[in-house]
Amino acid sequence: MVPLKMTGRQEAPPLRYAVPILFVLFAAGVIYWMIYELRLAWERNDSWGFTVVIASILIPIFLLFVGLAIYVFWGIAASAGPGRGPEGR
Amino acid sequence: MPEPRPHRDEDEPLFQPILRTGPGFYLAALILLSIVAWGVWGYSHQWRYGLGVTGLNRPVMWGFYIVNFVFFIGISHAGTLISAILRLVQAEWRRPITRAAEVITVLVLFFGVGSIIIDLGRPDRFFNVIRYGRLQSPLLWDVTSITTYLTASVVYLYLPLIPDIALLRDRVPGWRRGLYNVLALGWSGTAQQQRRLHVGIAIMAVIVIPIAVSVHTVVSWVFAMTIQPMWKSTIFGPYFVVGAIFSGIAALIIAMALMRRVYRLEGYLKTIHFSNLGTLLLVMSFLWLYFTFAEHLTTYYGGEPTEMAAFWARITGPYAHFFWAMAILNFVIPVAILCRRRTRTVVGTVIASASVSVGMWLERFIIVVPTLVNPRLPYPRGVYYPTWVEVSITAAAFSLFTLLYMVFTKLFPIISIWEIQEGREKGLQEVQDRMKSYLPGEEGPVLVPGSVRGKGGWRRWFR
Repeated sequence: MVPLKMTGRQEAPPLRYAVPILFVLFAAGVIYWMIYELRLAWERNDSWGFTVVIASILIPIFLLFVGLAIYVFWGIAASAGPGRGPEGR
Repeated sequence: MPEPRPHRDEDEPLFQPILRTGPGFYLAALILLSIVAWGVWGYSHQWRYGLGVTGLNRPVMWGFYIVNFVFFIGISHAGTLISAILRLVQAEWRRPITRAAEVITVLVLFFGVGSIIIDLGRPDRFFNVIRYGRLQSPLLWDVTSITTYLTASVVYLYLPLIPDIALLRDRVPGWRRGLYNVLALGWSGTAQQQRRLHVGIAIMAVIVIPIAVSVHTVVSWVFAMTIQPMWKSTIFGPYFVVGAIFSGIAALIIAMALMRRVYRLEGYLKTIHFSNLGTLLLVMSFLWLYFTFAEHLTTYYGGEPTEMAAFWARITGPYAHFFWAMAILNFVIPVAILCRRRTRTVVGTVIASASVSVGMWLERFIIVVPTLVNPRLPYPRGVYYPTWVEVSITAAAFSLFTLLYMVFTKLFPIISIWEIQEGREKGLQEVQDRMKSYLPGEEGPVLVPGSVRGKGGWRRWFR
């Protein structure tokens, strides 16, 4: 990537963590919903096979999204802030 | 790591749509808002009196709203899928078009979901899907796949936006600066930030392709899992995916042409971009014809009476004019324009794309309605005519989509600034190196993205 010069006015407000936090909460909500669906299917002995198959696809994907959010979004936000050199620390 | 460079003056036109807003924008917004307001009135009418105010009735329970749903979800393949494929194959001409495509994806997905909620009649019952959902139903499969696709598409749009948002944060005054401050995540272009961003984009580009393909496959299964005539088909999955990419490319070309014209981006969105996308559209037109022909031939050859009722309704019956209009708009017109290099111009590709957009909407209509008019079970046959409510809501949906797209261009660069600069700085050298690696000679380092071979493995690629 060609590094774009920032003017030096850049601020790193604490709110920059809002995006990764909201994203993780959303992904966690979807995972929770799938677990809820699994429990529902188990308790009612209803469409258990379908639920297991879909949950086994959906939960890993959203876990991957959570990992990505932490690695990329949180990582970028954590390495921000005035006074950081071009190489980051 | 090279020294940071200032953004170049030659990229100033990319900031202009955000920094300046002319009266044309407000006029267009006003017209679109008026149509949206009319659609809201139509929906409030439906809310008060129920689905009886629409043309939906036994046996045709799905009409315009479901047609719009399938159409919007199809259009969504414009962005993420095309952008991801072009990124993965390192197509250098992708740089000015990826963002315009990704925005289409994210926005139309909301309209796809919205169409379903409008079709419910009782939108409050949507929450029953969350509370009591049975995952045996293909409708629930749709909920899960679209949720996944929407999440992936938002991330895939947002990741390459971060450096550009940081640029805007440092340039744009006023209330928007606060928004950019939050969304920029404190981006300052450090090596660590760049590495993480590249890893994120690379991973998402790989993940999003199977997700996108699965979404429209699942949409097709909503039809194909029934035993309705001309719906129960094993090729419906790929047929829908092909149609989705087809309509997606068409929508992308139209959006690009509008941006080019309105924001004077002729220097970025060049004829070659339209020509390349036009070639893709041409290929998809032939693929679409292949699937359509295969679908209808197998039905005709089987000669099963209930299937034939739906078949003849399309070919010679009350829906024949839609069917043949679809064939002309999706195949005859685009192929006639796009097969010749001389007519594969900006204007030519836009005309072909407009034709395909209308044709693909008709295709969705042709799939949904004639089958329901001629159901397998011995219900009385019916006829479907949309009412003013459905037409108004449909017009409002398209207007609101256009309006939101316009608003996006006022908040964020519609062409990725850092990717353009990267192309200028590194693109030529990278393409040269890649070309050398293709030519006969000693085995050099593998420069294909995603490859794990060669010294340094995948880390080298992200460096």
